[in-house]
Amino acid sequence: MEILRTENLCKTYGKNENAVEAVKNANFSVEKGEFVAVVGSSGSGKSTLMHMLGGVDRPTSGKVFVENEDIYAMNDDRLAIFRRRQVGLIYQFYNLIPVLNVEENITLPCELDGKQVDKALLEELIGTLGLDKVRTHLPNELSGGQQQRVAIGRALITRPAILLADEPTGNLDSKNGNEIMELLKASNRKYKQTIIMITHNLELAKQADRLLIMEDGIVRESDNFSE
Amino acid sequence: MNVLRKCSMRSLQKSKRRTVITIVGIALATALLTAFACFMESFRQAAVRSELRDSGNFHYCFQGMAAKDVKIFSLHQHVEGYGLLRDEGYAMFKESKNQRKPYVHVCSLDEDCFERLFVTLYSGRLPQSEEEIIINRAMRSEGGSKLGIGDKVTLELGRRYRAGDQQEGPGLSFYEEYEGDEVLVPIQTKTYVIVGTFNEPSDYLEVSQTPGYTALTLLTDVGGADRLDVYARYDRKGIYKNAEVTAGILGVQTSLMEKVLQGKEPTKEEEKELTKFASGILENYWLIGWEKQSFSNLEYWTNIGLQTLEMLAVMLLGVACIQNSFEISLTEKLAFYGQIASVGATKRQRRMIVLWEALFVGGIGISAGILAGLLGSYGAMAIIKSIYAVAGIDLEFYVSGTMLLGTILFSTAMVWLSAVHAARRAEKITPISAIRGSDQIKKQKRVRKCPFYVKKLFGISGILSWKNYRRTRGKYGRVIFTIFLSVSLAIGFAEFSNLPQDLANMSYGVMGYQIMLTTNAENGRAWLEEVAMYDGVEEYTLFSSLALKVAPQSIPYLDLSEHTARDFETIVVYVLDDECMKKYCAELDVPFEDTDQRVIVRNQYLAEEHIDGKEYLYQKEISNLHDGDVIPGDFYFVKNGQKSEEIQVSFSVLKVAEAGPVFLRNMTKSSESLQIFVSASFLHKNYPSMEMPNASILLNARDADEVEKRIMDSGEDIYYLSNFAKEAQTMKEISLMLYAMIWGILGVSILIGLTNLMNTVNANMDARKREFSMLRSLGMTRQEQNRMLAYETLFMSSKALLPGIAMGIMLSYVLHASLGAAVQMFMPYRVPILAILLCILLTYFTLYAVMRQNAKNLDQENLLELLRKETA
Repeated sequence: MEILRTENLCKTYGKNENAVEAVKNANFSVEKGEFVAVVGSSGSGKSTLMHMLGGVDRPTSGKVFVENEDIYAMNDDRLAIFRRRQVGLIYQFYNLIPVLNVEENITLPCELDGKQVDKALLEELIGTLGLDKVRTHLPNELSGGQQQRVAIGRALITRPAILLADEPTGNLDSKNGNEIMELLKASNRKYKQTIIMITHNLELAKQADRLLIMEDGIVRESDNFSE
Repeated sequence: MNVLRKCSMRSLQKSKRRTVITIVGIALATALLTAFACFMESFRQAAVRSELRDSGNFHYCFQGMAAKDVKIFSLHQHVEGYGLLRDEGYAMFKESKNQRKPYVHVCSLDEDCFERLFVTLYSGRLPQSEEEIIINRAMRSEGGSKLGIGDKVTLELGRRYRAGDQQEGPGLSFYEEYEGDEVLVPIQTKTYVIVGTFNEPSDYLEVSQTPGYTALTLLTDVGGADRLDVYARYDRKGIYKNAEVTAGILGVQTSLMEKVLQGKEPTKEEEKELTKFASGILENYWLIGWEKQSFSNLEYWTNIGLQTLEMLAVMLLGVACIQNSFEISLTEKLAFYGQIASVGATKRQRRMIVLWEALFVGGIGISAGILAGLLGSYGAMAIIKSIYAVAGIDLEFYVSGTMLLGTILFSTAMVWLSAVHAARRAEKITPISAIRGSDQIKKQKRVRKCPFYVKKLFGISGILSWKNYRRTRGKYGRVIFTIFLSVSLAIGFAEFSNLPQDLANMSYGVMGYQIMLTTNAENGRAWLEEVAMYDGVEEYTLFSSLALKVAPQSIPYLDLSEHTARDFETIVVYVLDDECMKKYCAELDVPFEDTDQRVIVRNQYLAEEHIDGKEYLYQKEISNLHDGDVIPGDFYFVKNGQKSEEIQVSFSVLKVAEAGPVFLRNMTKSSESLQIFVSASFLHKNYPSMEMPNASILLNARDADEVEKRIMDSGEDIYYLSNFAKEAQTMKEISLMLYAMIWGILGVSILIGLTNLMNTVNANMDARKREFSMLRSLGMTRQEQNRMLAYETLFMSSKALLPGIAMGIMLSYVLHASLGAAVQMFMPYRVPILAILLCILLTYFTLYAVMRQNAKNLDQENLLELLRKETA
């Protein structure tokens, strides 16, 4: 079942002679439960694409459909609600709220939504992510790997339709990086979680079900991992 | 607790220093507003009490109403209470020593009216029947009456009429001064027993110009045909609808009453309508004004204007300070807002974070400010009330619920206004801008070159400072505005620093004497000469006043029509002792010897005119007299209430002067009549038969208070005494207090500004850590860094100081001019140089000290660690 589809998605920065096309006519779709990796060199437009898929950055033109709903037809507040309910975002630099502890950071999207936190899910996530002992710690008291686990927990707590991860291991050593990858794969398996991961690390990309390559803003499908 | 509130609270905790500074800023501004509201209300209440005491507890007096019509007052819903007065008439007071008061004026008051007009007993008791009477104490102390409690008096009471006028109707009112040319037409004879004396009565019963001493009896029986004066007090709603209520009582249109109350002349028909039920109406203007807090008076509005200006300045400073704090907080938390936006926080939720912070710091700041303001003003009031009591101002601490509520609303508005901009900005932050930090990157439209003189004067440190100053101008905008405002206010209000001395000069400084003593006693002049010999009296001058009856046509008046109402008029002739006359002659540059045969005439007065609610003052000439002219008239004196024989004289004018002698100038400057000054030698040589039954002495002593005490203990009670030294001292103390209050307000305003300065500099220096680390890592020494900061301070201070000084000078001139108009005196304008220098030094050093302190903190941090963090 198709969960995400883009139609002629474009993003241009600047104007006239200074215009830079970061994403050019991206057309692809993602099935529910799929683990998709987007690879490309630095500056190829991967992060811009991810921000547009997550409803964070509006495209210059084109559409993004999530569960058949055009997310950019929504106003800012509806889009914010969409992000909090349908999308889980994981960034390279974690983007945790420094004044909230681990548990509060994880439950933040539920709190913003004014919903009761699913305690069982929270405990399960904290357990799976190995954050039991640090649940009351503030982000600056955690290692990079632990912070990224918190970010994953925060992304999963609302059981989003799509989990978007932008270089989730980019700031971590290989041991922590591998652990994070395992967690992502586990969530994909366990919760049938749709994941779109952006990376420039081909080794990590190989662990995905499907590969999209980005070059100079153009997205294309790749069947060949050796490519 | 909601997660967003948790975020707000924790981020406030995280930036403790700024949170505390912001709370202090809000508390200072609120305390200032609270104290101001308390002082305003306390002074207003003191003014209301003073008016009640001086004029009475009523809003309108309806004169000459028929007794049968009085019931309207008890039926009217807006009349809170009323007292009745029946004018019994005037009786001759033959032994009066006061030329202006040759009568006893008897009035019957009902019990309510005794209270309403604040009749306070000096001795004895109040009358309990129509056969008992109490007399004004001044009738004995000033008028020389020998009557006392228990004495029985029979008075032939009548109405006063101008000689030659038809002797019909109510006659002359008590406002019309005694000018000698009137007759008393008897209407009844009554016998009273004096049962008491009372202190100075309400201004609506008797003032110094009214022609009789008041005596009061009890009104018990009102006849249907009686004409009564009704002193009515309206309720709160009634005061605000005073024209409507008064019109309702008089049965006229509200518009007509409004016209009359605005001081416009009614037409004859309107006049007829207005007097249908009452012959006249008196408004207790000041009491109504103070109760309603509305005046059309220049002094009042000058005062209100000044206070409003200060309050607006405080509010502006408060808003600038608090707003800055929220803006800094927002800038520091851009990433945070972006992060929460990316996980789904709506615009409203982001806005609410800022507003929650505002609610928290505002709640604490406003509560603390109100408490501090109440305690501060209570303490200040306890200290100053004794000083005001000496000046006759009965000051009590008073808090008005409405004003307090107003203060809370004002402070809340101040915090809300400060936070709302930051809240809107928070709402507009997009997740992507925060993730990329694109809000902080702005394209420079053009590269600004550093002026060559900066490079030449200050070198590389100067160039860096200049560029930093240009780059951070926006961030420092509010600080520059705060400094500008504080400097303008400080220089503007420095004008008040001259006020105590100027006001003191106005009292006795100009007059040159500390005490003035006047007596009408039989051997008054001899007693005054005795006083002059008291131990400690260092210098004195004696003068008396006699009268010259002149025919108006014999004087070349500029406007004769103002003087021809009667066949003759009286000009006061002041007899100065020779020493005093010598000084006056020196002042006018005329030989003293010539005053043996000739007189000096004062020919100008200070005229006052009200046009469209504004008050204008100017010197007005009275006549076209010239040096050498002759004034013919009949010269006489009044002794024991009896006129002496008139001597026909022709005074030759030695000099036509603009003003009288210095010591008399303030007392007589507004008198519209000519004044003649002669020397004692002139009188003795030319008119040896003329006596000087009244006399005044002006004296200076080592200890004026001691001399005053000795005079009061002398047993004499027929005198007026003015201790100008004491008055000047009191005035000086009051103005010093005013001065201290103004500077107190300014001080707090400057403190508010300082909190703003500290907040901004702290935040900005924090943001520039990387820049400093980089410069230090490239080899910039600590001294060079300090020099760079000093230059930046210089550029920034100049930006605020230059317009601030210009605005301050303008403000000080405007305040000077309005103050001069308010106290009706000329004071030379002085540019407040000292205040300007102080402002320059304080601004520069404060700004530099705060920047330097932050740089010092930076010195203690590890440069490499900083660079590493910043590049991470």
